[in-house]
Amino acid sequence: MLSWVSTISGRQRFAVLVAFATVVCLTLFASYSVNLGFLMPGPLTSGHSTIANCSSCHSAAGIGKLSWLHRLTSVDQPADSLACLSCHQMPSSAFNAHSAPLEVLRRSTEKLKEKKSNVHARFSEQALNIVFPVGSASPNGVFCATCHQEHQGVNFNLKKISNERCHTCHVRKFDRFDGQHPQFDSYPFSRRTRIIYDHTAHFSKHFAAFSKNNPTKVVPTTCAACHNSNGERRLMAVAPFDQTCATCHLDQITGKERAGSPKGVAFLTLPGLDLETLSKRIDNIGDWPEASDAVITPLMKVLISRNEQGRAVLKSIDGINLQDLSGATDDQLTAVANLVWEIKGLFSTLTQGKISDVMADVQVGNGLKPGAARLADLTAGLPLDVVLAAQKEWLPNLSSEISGRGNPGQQSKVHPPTALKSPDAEAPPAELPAEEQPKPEVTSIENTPCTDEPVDTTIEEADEASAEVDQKPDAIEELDSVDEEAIAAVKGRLPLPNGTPRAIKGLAEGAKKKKLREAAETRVRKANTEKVVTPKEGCAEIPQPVAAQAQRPDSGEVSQFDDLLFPDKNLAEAPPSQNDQKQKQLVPLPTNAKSLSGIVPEPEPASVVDPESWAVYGGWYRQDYTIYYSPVGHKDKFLHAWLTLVDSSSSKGAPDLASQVFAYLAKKDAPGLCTKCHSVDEIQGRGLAVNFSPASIADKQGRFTKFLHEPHFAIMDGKGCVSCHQLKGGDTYLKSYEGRNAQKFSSNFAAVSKEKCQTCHTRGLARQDCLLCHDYHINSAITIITNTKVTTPK
Amino acid sequence: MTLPSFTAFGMERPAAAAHIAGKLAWWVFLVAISGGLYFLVWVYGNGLRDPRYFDGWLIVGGMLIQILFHVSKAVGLSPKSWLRWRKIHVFVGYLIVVGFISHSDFSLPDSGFEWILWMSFVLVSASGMFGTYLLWLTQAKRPIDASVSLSRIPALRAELRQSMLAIAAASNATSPNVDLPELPYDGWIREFCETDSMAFLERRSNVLGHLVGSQRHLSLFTDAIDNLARYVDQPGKAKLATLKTLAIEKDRLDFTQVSLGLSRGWLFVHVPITYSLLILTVVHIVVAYSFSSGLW
Repeated sequence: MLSWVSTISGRQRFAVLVAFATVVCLTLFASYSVNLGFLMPGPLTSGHSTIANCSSCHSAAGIGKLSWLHRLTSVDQPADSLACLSCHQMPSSAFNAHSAPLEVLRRSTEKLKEKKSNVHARFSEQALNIVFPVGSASPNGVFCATCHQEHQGVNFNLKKISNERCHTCHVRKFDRFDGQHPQFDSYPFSRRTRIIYDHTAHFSKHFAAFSKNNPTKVVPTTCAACHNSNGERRLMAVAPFDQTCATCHLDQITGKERAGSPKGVAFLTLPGLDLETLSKRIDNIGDWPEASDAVITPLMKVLISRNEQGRAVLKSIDGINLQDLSGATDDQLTAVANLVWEIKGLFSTLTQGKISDVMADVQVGNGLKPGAARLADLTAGLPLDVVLAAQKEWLPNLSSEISGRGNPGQQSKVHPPTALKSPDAEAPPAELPAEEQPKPEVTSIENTPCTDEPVDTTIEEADEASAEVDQKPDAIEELDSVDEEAIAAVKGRLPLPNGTPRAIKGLAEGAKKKKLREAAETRVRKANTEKVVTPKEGCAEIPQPVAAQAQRPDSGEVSQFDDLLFPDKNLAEAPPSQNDQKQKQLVPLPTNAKSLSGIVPEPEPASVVDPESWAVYGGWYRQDYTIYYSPVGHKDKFLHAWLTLVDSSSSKGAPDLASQVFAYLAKKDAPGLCTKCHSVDEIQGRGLAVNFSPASIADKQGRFTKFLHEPHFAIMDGKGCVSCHQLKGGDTYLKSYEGRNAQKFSSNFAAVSKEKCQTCHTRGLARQDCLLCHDYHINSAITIITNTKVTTPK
Repeated sequence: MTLPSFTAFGMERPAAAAHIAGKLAWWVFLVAISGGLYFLVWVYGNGLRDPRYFDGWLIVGGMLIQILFHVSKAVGLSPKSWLRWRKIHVFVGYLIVVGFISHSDFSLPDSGFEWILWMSFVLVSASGMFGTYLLWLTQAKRPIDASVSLSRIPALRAELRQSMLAIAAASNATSPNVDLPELPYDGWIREFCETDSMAFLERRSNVLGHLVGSQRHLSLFTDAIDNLARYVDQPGKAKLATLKTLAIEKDRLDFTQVSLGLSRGWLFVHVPITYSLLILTVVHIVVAYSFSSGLW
């Protein structure tokens, strides 16, 4: 060693000494430095300046002084980028080019390839492809640090990226925007507008007509009356409904201008059944109103299908015409009977329990149960009184029927199907055929007014009257030709809205037959009235008609069984005595009813107000055998909740329940007319969705192009918005919405051409770099809020 | 019209032109390669990679070539090969500087380690360029006598001093008798030798002047001799001419001393710091790859 030292020159010895000193100094630095700051190549940008630990971003740095050396032996390139995502949240496709899904990239690439022009790549691009091919450089994705190079100083712009870098990967390369940049594809109409608004028709027809008819009201006169970009600068947002469309269209939503179908959404119904067939072949459905010709609404089906049993029942009646069961098999009739009991169970639950007993189990399509807020919107504050009143009128013996059915040993005691009279009709028409004769209402002890006449006498006399009617079938011969709707109106069916063609027709034909019908009804009413007994003191007057037939002990048929009425089975089977009959018929008046006034209270006269007209401001109302909900205005929560509940799981033509609800509520003429203006899109993999909201900044997500209106306002050269958006003629706009494909669109406005932008964005004038109009990340990163724990005393 | 005689660096016109053309070609070549280097770095960066890895490895490659020159000296090449190696060494050295400017992105470092590395590189590069300058200074601008070594210069300088003192002491015995009092030419020369000439001789090597190629100090002294020569007789003029020759020789010795001294001295900076730079470079590479995140 010494000999070697002696042979080397002084300069070399000095060099070795300096080298040794360097190693010593570095070792001392590494040993005694507080952190690895002395190794840092430069300051972080101001946004990252508070990051103190290298390991916050450099995953392999670790906490030891030399632990960062481990990185040399392990290749984990995405790890550092994943650390970036811990603050800057991005989708799973973050490391794809443009952070876009691969399918989007593939489509974009194919689209650009189709547009490939004759432009040759520049020399630098050719050199790049030859010397440093990009494809081999990033097989696993484009990581954050590829573009965002840190440690370049506090004021460094991490988002800066050159045009050349953009061109590196693109299959179609071009020089600059005012050069070979591809032409726009019907920009900015990448899809049809969410709100269906025919600018051409409004400008040319509707505004003028409305102004003529309503001179005091104001129609928009400028684009800015409806559009502004004050909120989101990337949007020319549409002003709210109340400030724009409400002037003309609010009454259409609430139904004031509605001339045809009901103004409300049918929510709960008692569907019309072929009771004649049922009574012959099924003996356990209990009471059911004969006059109803309603159908089960999709919304009601949702309620019925809240449990497995309900779903099975709905499935079993699928395809059965409930109002004509003459050709039904026994199984189908049994299914209908099960449906009847499901509906009764539903009403019983709604009236005896809580609404949550029904709604809490509701689930549609995707199987998810709606939350409390959604449930509140789905029921729109449905009052108990509405359901209770409906139940008392439609199914007055419901509780006894349910309790009787609830006792398996007494199932056979449930009386055969008994048709209840229409609540609106005082008596059945005498000239109706026997099978259409409304039968006397079955009453239970709970709501049967007391009478001092034996029931069997009343029944017998009523039967006689009925028989009298039956003997004169030709008296109603003409009625057979009457339109079904007119008959239904007589039977208490849903009154048709005034002014509709169907209503006019029904009224015209019905009026002709009305006299015949009244004659028949008068005869029956007379026969029944004669049998009505004057009520005893302290008992309420028996409302017409009196229930009788159902409790006929000698009918040979097993009537409704009630534990309360027949605590002993022998008693139940024994013929009831006269006193028993009285007890059944008599219901004591409330003690204060007489003591206060000394007069037996008269029943309130029936309201003459049309319930639908009464609910002019929207809300719940009951009409015939249906409970309706009328929209309260724009943004009705009930309609919104139901449509959004089922939209994600429904699809066009699918037979599932969600689709039925959606089809029912999203019809063009459905109450609320939601889809008149809110377009319906079919979203792949999701189904149909109503576009309740206009375009928002969220809808801009996933787009490669950005545009701000504001910087262009000052250069519109007196023409205003028309400088770029020129109305085009034609009537193809509304046809765009006939389908569900949002991509098929024919705008009222001509597309903006590249040449239009190029008038300013050219060399020597405005910028034309890539980042001016394009963001690299199509969905910009979201900076997530840190988890801050709230300190609570232990 | 006759063209003035053209000389440069002590060479005649054709040789000088060839030299200038060679140097120009050398610089053009350097600039061309540097331009190509920057283009490659730019293209590399456009390829979504971090260009610092590219030019960084180019620098490392250049440094390895420089080390090979150091090794070649130890191996003992022929003088011709050694000269060729030296040319390559200088040329690659300039390329490394170009690469370093690219690597540092035309900016100064920000952190402690980066500063140490930067300063090391700058010192090595600057000392290398200084050595190149010295080489040019002694070869092209003012060649030195190869037979004169640094250790002999003090003795030669002492001989010059003695010669100058002898000139001062010498008198002209053959002066003609005249009526007028005799002008004290010898006294003037003696006085000049004892004051100005001795000051010139005693003066230090004038390192800075020689380093920048300045001969102002010599010109001042020779101008003073020339001024005095106008007032002395013919023998006095001969003495002064001899004195001027001695002054020029002294200046040449000074230049030789400076150039030889600096030629040894700059290597004391260049080589040891190169050792240090190599170590720092290795650490820098390890750190760079340990904390790398993007594409290389």
